[in-house]
Amino acid sequence: MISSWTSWLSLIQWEQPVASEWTLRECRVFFWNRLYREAPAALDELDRELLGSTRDSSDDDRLQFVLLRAFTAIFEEGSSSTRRTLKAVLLHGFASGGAASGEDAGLDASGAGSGIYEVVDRHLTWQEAYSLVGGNPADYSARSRLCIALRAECQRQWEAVFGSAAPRVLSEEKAHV
Amino acid sequence: MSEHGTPFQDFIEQSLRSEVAPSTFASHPELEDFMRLISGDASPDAREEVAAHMALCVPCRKRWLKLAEAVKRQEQALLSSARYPTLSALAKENSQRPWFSQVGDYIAQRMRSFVPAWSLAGALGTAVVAAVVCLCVLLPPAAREWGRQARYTDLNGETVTKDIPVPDIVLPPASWDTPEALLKGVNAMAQYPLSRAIAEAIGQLRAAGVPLGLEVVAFTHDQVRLQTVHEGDSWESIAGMALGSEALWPLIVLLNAAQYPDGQLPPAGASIRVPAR
Repeated sequence: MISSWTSWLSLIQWEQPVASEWTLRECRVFFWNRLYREAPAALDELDRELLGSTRDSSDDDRLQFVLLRAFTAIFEEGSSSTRRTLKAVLLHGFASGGAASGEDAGLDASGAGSGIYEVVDRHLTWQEAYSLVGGNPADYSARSRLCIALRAECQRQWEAVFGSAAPRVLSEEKAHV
Repeated sequence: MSEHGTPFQDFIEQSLRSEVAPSTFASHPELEDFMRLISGDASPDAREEVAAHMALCVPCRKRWLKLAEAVKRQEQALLSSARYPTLSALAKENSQRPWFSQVGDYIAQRMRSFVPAWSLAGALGTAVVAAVVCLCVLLPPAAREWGRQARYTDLNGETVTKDIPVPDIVLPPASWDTPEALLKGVNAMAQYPLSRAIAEAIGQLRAAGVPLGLEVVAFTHDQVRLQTVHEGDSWESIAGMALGSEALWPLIVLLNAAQYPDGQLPPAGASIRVPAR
């Protein structure tokens, strides 16, 4: 199926310069799921599958693509504790997604070897998420250090991929509106 | 803003949350895709595709939940030996069922299938007629000495001559003085459990070379006596004492088929019929 996505994306480049937001998000979730299961794709594979359509898409898609790329780069280069914290961030973020009612929660929130679908709509706190990956829930410094590294990586990725200055959300300590 | 979070942390959380916002899909994974995911047979790419779809599709997540719970319940039920017997216990139980019961089940199963009952009955009837015809054709000449004297060679190589009066086996047939009547009577008894013992005994004796007609009608109530079963006795040991050859034990079984149709030697102290020398 991913090969069909590849051919479809290449087709989009020729016939439809603006890619569908739905298709890009599905494809990104495919790679988010691999990253979550600690089997990330290589950066060149991300570029091959997503970059072409992302260039012609919205700013949100470009931000999401850069965020995915930054997470992947840090996971590949980081230590085991960095990976653990990164997985906790993913777990915490995806668990807050879903229908927001808690009714559509997945099987369990063990996180080990499972997919995003098992944690969506679980609404975990940061302490719960960090505990599930084996971290000390009272340690907030790991998350802060990771976010600092992520922000820097996002800026670097944006400038490298798109050749322009990073958006404000990536360069300033202000919430994106 | 999340708990204890900086603006960038909030941005990350919001981004990840929006990535898995529910979506509506025109097509969904098939049941086989879910089952392969459960069984672990899915390829890595297929697994990731289904997982990514379920992250975005609420109905498929619910389907997955129900399916996984059903599989888990079945696994727990299979592990509960108190409720469900093991395959070896079922096989043992099935092997202990009478052969006619198994045949009946097979026939019923075939009749429930696409094979019409009349065609199955016709096939069975044809097979029975063919068996009777074959047996009649293959009867050795000695068997035609019915009603008079029969002479045959037992397993010890000795020539035995026996008078063959009206037989007295199981049911009182009007006349079993011809091989055809004998076979007809045996086949008629197929509905009774004792016919299994008779069928096995006939097979054993035929393999030993004893003429077909004699193994059933060789003995009458005038030529039998009662013998008490002792501890350690067996059909073979009793046949050895009564007939001089343990290989003729099926004759003893046949002689007692009316009282012990299952072919099992009764416990010590019971009386059985043995040929009178």
